[in-house]
Amino acid sequence: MNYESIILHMLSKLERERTVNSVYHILRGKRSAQTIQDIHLFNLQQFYGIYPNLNLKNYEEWITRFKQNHWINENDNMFTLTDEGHIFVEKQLMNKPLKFDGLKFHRKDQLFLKTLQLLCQTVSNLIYDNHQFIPIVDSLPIQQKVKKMIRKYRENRPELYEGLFIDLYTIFNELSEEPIDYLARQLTSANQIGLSKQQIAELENSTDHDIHFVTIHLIHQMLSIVEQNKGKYPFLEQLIDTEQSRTLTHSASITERLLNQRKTIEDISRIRRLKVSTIEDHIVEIATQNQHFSIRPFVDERLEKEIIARLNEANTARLKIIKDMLPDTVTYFQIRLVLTKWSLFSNEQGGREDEFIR
Amino acid sequence: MSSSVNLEKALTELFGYDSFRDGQKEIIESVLKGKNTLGTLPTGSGKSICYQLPALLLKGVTVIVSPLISLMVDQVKLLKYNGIKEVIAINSLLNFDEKEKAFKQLNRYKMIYCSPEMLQHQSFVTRLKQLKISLFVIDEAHCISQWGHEFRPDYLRLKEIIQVLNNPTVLALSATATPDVQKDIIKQLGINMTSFIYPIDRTNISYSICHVNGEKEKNDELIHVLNKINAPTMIYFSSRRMSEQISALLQKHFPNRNIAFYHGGMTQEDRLLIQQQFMNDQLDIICCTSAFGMGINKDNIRLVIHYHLPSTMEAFIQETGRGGRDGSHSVSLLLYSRGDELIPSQLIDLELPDDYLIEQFIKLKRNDDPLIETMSLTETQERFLNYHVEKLSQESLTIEQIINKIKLIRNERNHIKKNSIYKLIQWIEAKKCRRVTLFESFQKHVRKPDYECCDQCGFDIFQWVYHSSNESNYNTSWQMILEDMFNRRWKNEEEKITTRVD
Repeated sequence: MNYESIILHMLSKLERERTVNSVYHILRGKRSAQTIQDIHLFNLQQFYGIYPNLNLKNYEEWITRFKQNHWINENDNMFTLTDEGHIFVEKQLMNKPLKFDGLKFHRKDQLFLKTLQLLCQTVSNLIYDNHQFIPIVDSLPIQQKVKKMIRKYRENRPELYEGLFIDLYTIFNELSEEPIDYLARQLTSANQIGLSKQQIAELENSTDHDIHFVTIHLIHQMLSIVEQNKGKYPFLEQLIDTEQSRTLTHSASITERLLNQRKTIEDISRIRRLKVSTIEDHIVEIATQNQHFSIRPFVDERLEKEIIARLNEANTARLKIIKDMLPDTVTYFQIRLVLTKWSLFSNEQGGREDEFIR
Repeated sequence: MSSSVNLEKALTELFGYDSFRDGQKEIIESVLKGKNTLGTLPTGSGKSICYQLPALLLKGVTVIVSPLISLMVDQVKLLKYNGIKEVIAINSLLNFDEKEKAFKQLNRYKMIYCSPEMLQHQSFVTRLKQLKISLFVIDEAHCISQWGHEFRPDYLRLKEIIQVLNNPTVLALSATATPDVQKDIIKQLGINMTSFIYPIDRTNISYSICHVNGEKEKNDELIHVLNKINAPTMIYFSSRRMSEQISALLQKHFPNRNIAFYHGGMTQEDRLLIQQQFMNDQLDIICCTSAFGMGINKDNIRLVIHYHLPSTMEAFIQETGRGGRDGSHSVSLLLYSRGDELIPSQLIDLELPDDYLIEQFIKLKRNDDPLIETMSLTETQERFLNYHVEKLSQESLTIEQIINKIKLIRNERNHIKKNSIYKLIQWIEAKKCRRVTLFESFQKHVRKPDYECCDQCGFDIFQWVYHSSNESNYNTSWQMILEDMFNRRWKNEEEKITTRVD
């Protein structure tokens, strides 16, 4: 796996529809209505938030390189993949589907990795009867979590030692087709401090970006294996943060509460002293998160059908084109809502939009 | 005396050391008697024990003022490592909730580390006032003095804070204070102090300077030296980019050694890993900037190389002082190419605000103009301007007078710092004993070295023989890593044997 194929794959889904920077926002897990809507619209949920520390300068360098390699062309803020670009992605990802699950695991993944790193260091030091060591993770909440776990097995330490070893051995074995060594080398024992991504990259003649993606890819697979086999990995299960990861922005969740109190957009705008367009952004965001959310108060059934018909005709997600095909009274907000609802359904049900239109 | 017996016992019990090093005990006894104390001790000689031991013996709380967050954080980690848990660092790394929580529980701690800026926060000081502060420690006390190389205006406000906190015993510590700076520290604090001035020269370090011509020659020389000497080595750089570049270059030349870089631009996680690998002898060479904090001890560094010129004599003494903390021989090598002084000199010019920024700031400040937020000043520039504007506003001056005064103050600061570089160059060019010329401004007599002295006195780095015995072997496959982590290798062997017997 390399970053080129991931980024280019993402770009290929957005060509002619969005600017190159949308990919950057998705990777960083930006919590804006636009980004959250985009991942649903273009089926990029699995990449959401998988590189939260990516900086813009790095991203721009990648794009420049892609252009130099003649993989993409960019003009007037629009970009397309060249034939070489498409061939490169296909070759790279052939028979190797990406198993990220960013929408589900973003943030949880980093927490899980850090907790695992600190737990391994702690357990290993205890096994070697070394009670003095400096934790390799600074975060206080993670330190407390690991302390709590160690305390829980106060009476029966070997159970924890044995259990964690077996959990890790089993799951690494399960993933042995993958470059699981890269992850293992980032773990610290009593005898050996783990390597940084940069160091692994040097040893493997790779880049730290590639190592980052490989690591997150492995973590996501571990998380889903653990979640799908409840009880099989009792110790790793305890490391997963059970707190529901809310992708709704704080502000949008306040709007949601007011909507549930049957307030109108105008009411909410007045109460919160926010622009109507901001409240509309919130509503679109809520709709992307909750497929049971009813768009009916904002779009009636007849209009919904008409918008969908135009959508199918135009075969694009560019709002401007669709808006031009509809009466002037139809707002962007209404189109976005329908688009959101429609794309959620098509993803959930394997693209059977005809059933939705009925 | 019975008290001294107790002190030794406490040292062993709390910190695991058998005996005090030069000066520690005298300073601790003075502090325990409640005397305001000024102490100078060399870097790497256990300065922090001088307040940590009294802090644990005294009733009440000890406040420690430290200029750098990384220093505080490392100190707290090291104390916790030693099993001393009632310590906290209050700084900007804590978020609002954490700070609130810490303030509420402040009475739980024996040692509270903070920056001088933090002591300007009313809520923090109010909370401190409710505690019994028995000892107030000023670490890196040379920051108080305008003649010091690292003057920080907020250090001058400590005098008032000490009074507000009901005059606890004060302990000021420094490893790099000239006699002038020592006098100034006492003057600025406005209290009587008992001084314990110990020589700061390190007798187990040999000094060597190598003149080269340009970067290519510098790199050749570096490789030449490292080819000869395979020992735990630090190489200091003044730029992040160069630390990475040279690290890559060396790795190519020495594929069998473990080499890494470390600088402030890396993520916190990576910094922790690299630092601990170095402590754990997994790295042979580290290419770093001054961001590499050494609050966490590694005592077997044998070679400290300066690839770039440090900014001051004091910084040089501090950085070379990281070598040989175990008391065994360590070597300092400075690679100098004519013109190297330009980098630190330019850095100095950028540190404090230029004429334009001073004028803009004062004009906007006078009108309470919110545009002041958009000026993009560095933290240091903002601190400098705020401090002096506030101070000068107590005098009745016109806006032009204030501007001119601040410009003068800035020029003076820049002059002091550039003078420090000039002194370094003089030191490099002098055809005299390195050791004597390096330390003579700090102390009257420079001691006799334990090993070879310096290149001027006949020390030749290429004649120095050192070979590290440790060959670290990385586990690379996940099976090996897990077996080592959970200590299973031995068990597996045993199982194999039993199956064979069966």
